Amino acid sequence: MPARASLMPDTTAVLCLLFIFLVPFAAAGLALINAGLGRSRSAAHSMMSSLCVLSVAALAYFVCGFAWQGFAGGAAHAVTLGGKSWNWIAAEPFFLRHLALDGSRPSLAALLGIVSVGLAALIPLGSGADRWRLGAICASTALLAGWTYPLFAHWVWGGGWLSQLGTNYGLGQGFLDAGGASTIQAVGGLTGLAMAWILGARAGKYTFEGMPSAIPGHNSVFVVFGCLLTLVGWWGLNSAGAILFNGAEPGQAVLVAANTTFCAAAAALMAAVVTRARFGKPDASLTANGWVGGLAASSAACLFVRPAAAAAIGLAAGAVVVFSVEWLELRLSVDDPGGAISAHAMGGLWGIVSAGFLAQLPAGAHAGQWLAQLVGVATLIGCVLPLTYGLNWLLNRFYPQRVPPEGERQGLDMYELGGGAYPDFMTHSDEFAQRKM
Amino acid sequence: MGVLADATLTRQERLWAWERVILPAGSLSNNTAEVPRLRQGLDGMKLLGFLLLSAGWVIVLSAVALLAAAPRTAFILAGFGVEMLGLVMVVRAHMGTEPR
Repeated sequence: MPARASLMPDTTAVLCLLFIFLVPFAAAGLALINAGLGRSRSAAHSMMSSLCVLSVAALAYFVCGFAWQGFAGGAAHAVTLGGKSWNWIAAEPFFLRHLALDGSRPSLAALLGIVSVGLAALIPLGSGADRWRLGAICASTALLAGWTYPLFAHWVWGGGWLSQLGTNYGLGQGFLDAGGASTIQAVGGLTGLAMAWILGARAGKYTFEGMPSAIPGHNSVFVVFGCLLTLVGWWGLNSAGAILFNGAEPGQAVLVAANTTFCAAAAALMAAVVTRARFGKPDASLTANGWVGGLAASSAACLFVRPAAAAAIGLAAGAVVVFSVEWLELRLSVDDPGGAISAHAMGGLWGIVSAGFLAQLPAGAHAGQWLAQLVGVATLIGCVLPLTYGLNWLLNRFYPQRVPPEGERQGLDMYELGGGAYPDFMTHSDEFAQRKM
Repeated sequence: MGVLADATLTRQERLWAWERVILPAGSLSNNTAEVPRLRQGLDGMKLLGFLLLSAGWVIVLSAVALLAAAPRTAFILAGFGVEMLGLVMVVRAHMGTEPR
């Protein structure tokens, strides 16, 4: 049996374990939000996809994901650049071998990774809704959970070069991300953007003149209930991340949970106010997106800011998400039914940047923090986006990811699963009647 | 394929016609020579955009690893600017392939 390493006090370990147990609520919430914002004729497919994504992600992470993510102080490959060591990728054995699953810090990090990688992989489902094949979803998830997520998570949480920017180059305390605004939200959101580009818009979404048609979600109750579930999951996610990767004391979980709540609340209210001001009535789906965007933004700085700053981050996040949804759909022709790109990528990126300016760090440790955060953002846009796009583009060449037009017209429930989510109700597919294919 | 020769259509509209009408029908005419060129142009733009994204990141990494504190900030910002340029190119290239 491997030696027990990096022990934490028992109370801290138990508390951390309980926080990790909350994270699946976030996954359940996102699954409901994705299903609710999609069409009724793809609702069962959406929930089935979520289940498959969580399964594939957990297994891929078990097989090779954790081996490449590793943990701070573990085995890793490093190169020397400019006289400093750059830790690029972990070198742990596959299949979690040599890892004692006994409550040690690495074992808790592995457990958190198993659930959070599923959360990251659920995000692209929102942007690829109503047109993404189930088999392709599983294959794409394996790529994300087996390679893209672990690589970036190692750089941030596994003792990699981003986390060492402070000690090696004096950039603040290195890249700060307590709860996964970058590793989970931005990585998932940017993968969602890549998928929206690769899959293209839903049939009938844009007219010849380039005007987008409104294809509203089929169940607002799912969406709003999903939002409530995500809050519980985010409490666990941010608190567990803060304890495991930033050395927070268990008592600081109170601050983390409060900041998470204030950020989400402020973002949702801001989204409601902005949509009320612009469209005459508050929009439920955009308010829900604002809520999730606030949660995503809260993850980076939840341990490092006071509650007032967290609320300010949330207010900005709510506005960013609403304008981003409109901008993507109207100006950039990106069809993102679940708002995943705006809520997770834009919200996460805003959270990372805001942590650089608003984090309360020890005296003298603040210099260059914004630059460390900017390097992290540059890495997400300049490395993770091309990487995840390239992998999914290659996959698409060998295994087309979009359903045929007939499948899209029929609905993914019938086409891929052979049965609908609501068999007692008649659904009408007349949305294409007035539009050209 | 008059639609491809119609000068009143925009480049994107002709490309849309190529992808959604002509390719599925499997029929080509002598007017379609332009369309693959448009297609290649957009693919090249995507590739260039992704290359700029990666190049910007390499500039950022190089600035962090090799430069002293004073010029480092300027070069990191410059690398980030190159990334933004690449992102704009990728976005524009994908807009051209969306149905319009």
